[in-house]
Amino acid sequence: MRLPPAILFDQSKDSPAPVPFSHATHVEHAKGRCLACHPEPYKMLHPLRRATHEEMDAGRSCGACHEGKTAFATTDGDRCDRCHGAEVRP
Amino acid sequence: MSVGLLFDATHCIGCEACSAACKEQNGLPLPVEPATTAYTWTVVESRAGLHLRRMCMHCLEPTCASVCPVGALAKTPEGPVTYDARKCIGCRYCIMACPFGVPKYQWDRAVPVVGKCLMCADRVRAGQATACATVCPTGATLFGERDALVATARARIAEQPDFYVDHVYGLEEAGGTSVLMLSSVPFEDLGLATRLPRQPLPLLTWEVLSKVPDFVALAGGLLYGLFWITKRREEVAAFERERDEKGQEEKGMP
Repeated sequence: MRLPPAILFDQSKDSPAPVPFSHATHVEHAKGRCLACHPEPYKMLHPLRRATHEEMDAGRSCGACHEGKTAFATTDGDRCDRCHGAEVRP
Repeated sequence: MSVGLLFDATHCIGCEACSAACKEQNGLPLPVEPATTAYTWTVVESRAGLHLRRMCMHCLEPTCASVCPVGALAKTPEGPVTYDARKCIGCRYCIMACPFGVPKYQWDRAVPVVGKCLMCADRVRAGQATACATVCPTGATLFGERDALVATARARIAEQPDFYVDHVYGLEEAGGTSVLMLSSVPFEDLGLATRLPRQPLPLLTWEVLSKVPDFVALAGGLLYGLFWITKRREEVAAFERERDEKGQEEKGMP
């Protein structure tokens, strides 16, 4: 399967390490349904600007699922490494 | 040279990325409905163990365009059959005429228009692939020159003759379509119309419409003949009445 390659998000100055995003791992959770994330909240053809950590913590973008129940929370200050500096998978 | 799409049902995994990209590209409201509507221009159906896209087939000679009284639908030289909502008067002839049942109407609107896949005519004109082909993760939907896609389809069948159905759907259906399909199960099992005439359907309309001038001339001649006969009869009757009246006057004279 020709999934889009891993996205490596830009690192802001107070970020501990860059954050990679893998389609492969997320598509499994979505049971192979691209519609789970596209075209809302994530546009496929014309991606929107990156969300900030505050916006994600408030439930936007990644935070819509990474809120602690559906998936691990973006607010977990002890486990930054789950995203920042995580292994880059395709 | 015109472009088209090749959809290989055996490659499709039913992820619906095409539906999502279509919604985004055309600014259509979510959700993706289970069947095509005026707001959902392409869906992926599960039939006979395969996933199959439903969408406009973009006929080489589209019946919808041939019946449209205002020219809202048109076949572009690039390949897509486009629709101009500003011209549409809402007569819905296209919906009745389409051999694939593609155009759908906005039944929920006060001033409705028709909705159907436009094969991303704007993207195609700009030299880009359609949104659906761009995002398809398995290459089940391929965009390219139709001639090249026909060659690809034939090559796939030739490579695996026992796997594929020996037919490229859309090569000749309704005179040929810009969208081509491959399958490993009979196309009728996928719910596709398989008994379509091999010649373009607008030919049927043309055969009737081209006789209209002859019919008008013939009917005009016939009606004029009837008019001439009745007028002549009236003239004769009037002449006879006049003659009889004169005769009686002459008789009445002493």
